[in-house]
Amino acid sequence: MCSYLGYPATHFAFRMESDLKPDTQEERPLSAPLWARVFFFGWILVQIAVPLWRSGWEDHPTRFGWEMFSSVRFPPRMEVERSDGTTEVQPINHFVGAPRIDVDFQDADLTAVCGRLPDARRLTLTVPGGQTVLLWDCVDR
Amino acid sequence: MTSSIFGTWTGARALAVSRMVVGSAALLRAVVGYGIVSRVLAEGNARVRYFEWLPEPHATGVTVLVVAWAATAIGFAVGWRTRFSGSALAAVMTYTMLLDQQTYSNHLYLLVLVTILLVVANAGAALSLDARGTAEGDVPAWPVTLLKVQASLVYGFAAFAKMNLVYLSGAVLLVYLPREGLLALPESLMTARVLAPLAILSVFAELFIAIMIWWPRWRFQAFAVSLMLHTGMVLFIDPSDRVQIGVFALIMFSLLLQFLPTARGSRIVVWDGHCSFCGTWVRWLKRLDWLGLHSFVRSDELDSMPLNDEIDRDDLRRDADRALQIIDGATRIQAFAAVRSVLEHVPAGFLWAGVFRLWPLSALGERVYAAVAARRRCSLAGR
Repeated sequence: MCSYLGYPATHFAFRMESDLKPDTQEERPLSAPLWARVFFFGWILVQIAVPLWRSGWEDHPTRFGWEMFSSVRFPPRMEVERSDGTTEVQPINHFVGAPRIDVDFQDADLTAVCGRLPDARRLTLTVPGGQTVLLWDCVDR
Repeated sequence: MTSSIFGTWTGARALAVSRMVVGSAALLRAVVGYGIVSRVLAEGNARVRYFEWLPEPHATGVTVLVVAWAATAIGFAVGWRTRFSGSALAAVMTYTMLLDQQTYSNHLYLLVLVTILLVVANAGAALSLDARGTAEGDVPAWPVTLLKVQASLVYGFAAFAKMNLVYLSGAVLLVYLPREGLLALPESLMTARVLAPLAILSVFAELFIAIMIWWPRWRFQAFAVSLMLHTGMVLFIDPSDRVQIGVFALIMFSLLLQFLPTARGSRIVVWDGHCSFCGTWVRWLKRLDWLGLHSFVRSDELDSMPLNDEIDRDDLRRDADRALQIIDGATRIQAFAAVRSVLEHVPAGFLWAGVFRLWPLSALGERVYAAVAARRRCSLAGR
């Protein structure tokens, strides 16, 4: 037998008495399996731990830390040393497909860039402060 | 505490609406993703891989990847084999994200996380092809709690990350705010005196949302702040990033939706059954009530319905002839506050209706309601 609102009469009476419990549809007992409990607390732990770990990163903003628009990071400067010993600066953004502020260029693989600059002997990436983040030898690779 | 987290069920409709929104956002992101992945993998470009061993798609492979992404996003949005399509969608997006540091974006990461949570939450239990022809059931509440926690963590950590001198000085806004176009701020306003307070305000806004969404008293104001924050970002940040920032906003809104109550029919809306004008409005409100939270009852049908003992039927009937009423447990809301409250509890209105709690909008709303209510007295058309 259903009440006016389409719920079993006992259920409806319960809802009317449970004034400030609108967030839950049903109060019938639910026994969540162990995996659910492990998943629940594991998820929260990871979702707190990862951004905290990333907040200790050297450069900001960084990935996986919800640090969007939180700081400014300039792309590195790329210096090309040619086989004749001359050097020139090339804008790094000409050699990356999707320039992003949070890319760690010290981890970059510049093999393809060397391929585009046939007479390049070495590529040097430096951050605006002058610190070298990557020295890439085009000849020996 | 664990029994209240793991021992309860919840309605599946809010999850279903979130599933549709997230599926649509993923589809939109697939289109953007095609361009990004193609450019990153193009010959001659620098690579910043996470894993050397991860196989990479060639030109045709990128097309196949994005088609799979789009197909699973559509399947997830419409609720076709929801758990399978959602898992496949999460897998495709994770693979894309891990191809290279350049294919990462915060909203793609968030899409992956929210899709996984929606799969776990059984978001296909309602308003889906899977649920066609079956009685609408409930789902365990604990994954919904995780979706809520996720919303808080994203806003909280976003605020936390901005607590640095570079951001608080306004320098980041100076870089990102447009210099040209209709929405460009005049150069005279691009100063630390203007931008620094704006930056500080944005940090407070994110903190406000992260915390206040858990307090029913402030929840709807927090939703409104969230809407303003994301709209501001879409409008004022570099137009080339607009789609991606829009995708981020959609995902966050789908998370905030989980903070609405889910008990179907638990909020009783009593309206003047003798007034055809009111009937028209109620029909509109019914159409917007996708979550099915409201039961709409004509004032002349009150006798047949069970009510909380604390509600006086005679008072209610008399007031219902004058203004819209909402009964939520033992609480009664009426007139403009009732209209606002209905709008706060429907997916199309929950983000913005909270602004009508604030003066002077609240006072203005009450005046308009009173004027319209008085006028409709003159246009009584009977049943």
